Amino acid sequence: MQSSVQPKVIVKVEYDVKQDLLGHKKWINNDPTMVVSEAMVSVNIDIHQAVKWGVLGAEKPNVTRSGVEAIACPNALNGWG
Amino acid sequence: MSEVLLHIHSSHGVYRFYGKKNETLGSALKRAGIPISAVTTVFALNRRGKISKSLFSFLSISQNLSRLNQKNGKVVVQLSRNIALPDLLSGSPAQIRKTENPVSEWIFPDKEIGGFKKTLVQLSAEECKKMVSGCVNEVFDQWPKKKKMKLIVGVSGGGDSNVLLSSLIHSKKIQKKDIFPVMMLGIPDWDKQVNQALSLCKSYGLKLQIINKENVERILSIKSLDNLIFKFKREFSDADLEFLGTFLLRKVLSSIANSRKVNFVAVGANREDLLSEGIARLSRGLPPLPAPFRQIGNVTFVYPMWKIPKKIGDGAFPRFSLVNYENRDPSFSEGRCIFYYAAYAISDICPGLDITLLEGFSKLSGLSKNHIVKNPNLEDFVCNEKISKKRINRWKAIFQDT
Repeated sequence: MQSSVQPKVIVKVEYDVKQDLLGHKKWINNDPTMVVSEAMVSVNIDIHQAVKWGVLGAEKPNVTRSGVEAIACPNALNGWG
Repeated sequence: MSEVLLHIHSSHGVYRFYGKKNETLGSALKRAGIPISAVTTVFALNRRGKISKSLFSFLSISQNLSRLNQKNGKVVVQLSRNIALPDLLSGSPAQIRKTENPVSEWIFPDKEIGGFKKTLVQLSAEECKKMVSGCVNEVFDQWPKKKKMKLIVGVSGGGDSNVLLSSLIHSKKIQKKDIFPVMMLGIPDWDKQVNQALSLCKSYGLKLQIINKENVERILSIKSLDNLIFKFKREFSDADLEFLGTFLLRKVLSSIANSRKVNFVAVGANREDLLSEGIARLSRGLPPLPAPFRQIGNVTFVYPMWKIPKKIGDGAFPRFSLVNYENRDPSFSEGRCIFYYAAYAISDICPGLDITLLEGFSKLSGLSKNHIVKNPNLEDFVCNEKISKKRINRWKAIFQDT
């Protein structure tokens, strides 16, 4: 199944299988046409202008951006399972 | 031709893998289990009938294999380290163990050579239950000495609490009279399963104590839980309601434990819960939090299923689990996704490494103390790390006039 929607994530989703197994249509944004493909969007990044090589980013160490979990959830840091 | 031959060059020899015409090189490597960070990929050009690795062009993992003309050369995937990756990746899994009425499955490493020999084991519901019971009994065997074996059990009505209660009831290590199931109401996402929780406890001959919204408000000394939820969503829009729910649950279960003079609270946290938490802690340069026993104030949280993968826990009661997932709201916390994904992926790429890491985390947590401390400003227990005043004030603000 192909979609004209520009994909955001590079993951292949087998929508029909999911629907058959669970018998409902809840999937990405509840939109059954939102099938993610492997298409990519070209972007221009001048790597030489980067202050350091990590310019494209490292994963954030906090579970949430605010870090609220350190205060709220010492019993289960990732939120309730 | 519908397939493209990939030549995987390594110190151990040349291996062949077939990519599909309609996929990218990256997708083919992923199917083969080869990390893209571990290889250099080139198209070795065919010159005068010979193919030489010295005549090549760079091949991106985004390259669609259908656009390659194999007459002009071949795809070479050069492993950039002399590790025994081909052995690790070959035949994965090498064998399958089938069972009657399978409901779940898990890839197990070999006892001697670990992930180098993998077995896909199909599991029946009974076998899943036995695995959970084994883990639960193991935790009971580690019970702190001289402490009464009495448990408040957090129940959600979903698959996790079902399998937890079932294994506790069937364990000979704890008496039924010493198990007190408690369900907290007030988080809409979780409240949907109250009837299921009631029937579940009834089937085990247990009386479920339901803490309704008014009682939650009383325990937290707030006027309106709805208002607290509203403020939390507004102030911490990056955090899903689950984080507030976890906080509320701890406060409520701890309060009930104190009022019943019970020192221990059990929740259904499983392997990936603890593993993802440990990875998140390490990424901040902090030791993992203790498991399967974690003291928070005068109450010790217990994770009887801490070594059980969710997939196996779910297998014990597969129908409950499906309903549970249908009832859950989507979570948008990026960090929660990343660390859980990492936890899931570890067992996929190297079966057994997840449990090894988890046990390592548990040992590591034992090397230090005071993981969770009372913050005088909040008069509550928080993770022992540097928390800015600003962050504390943001948290306090959601309780003011609430």
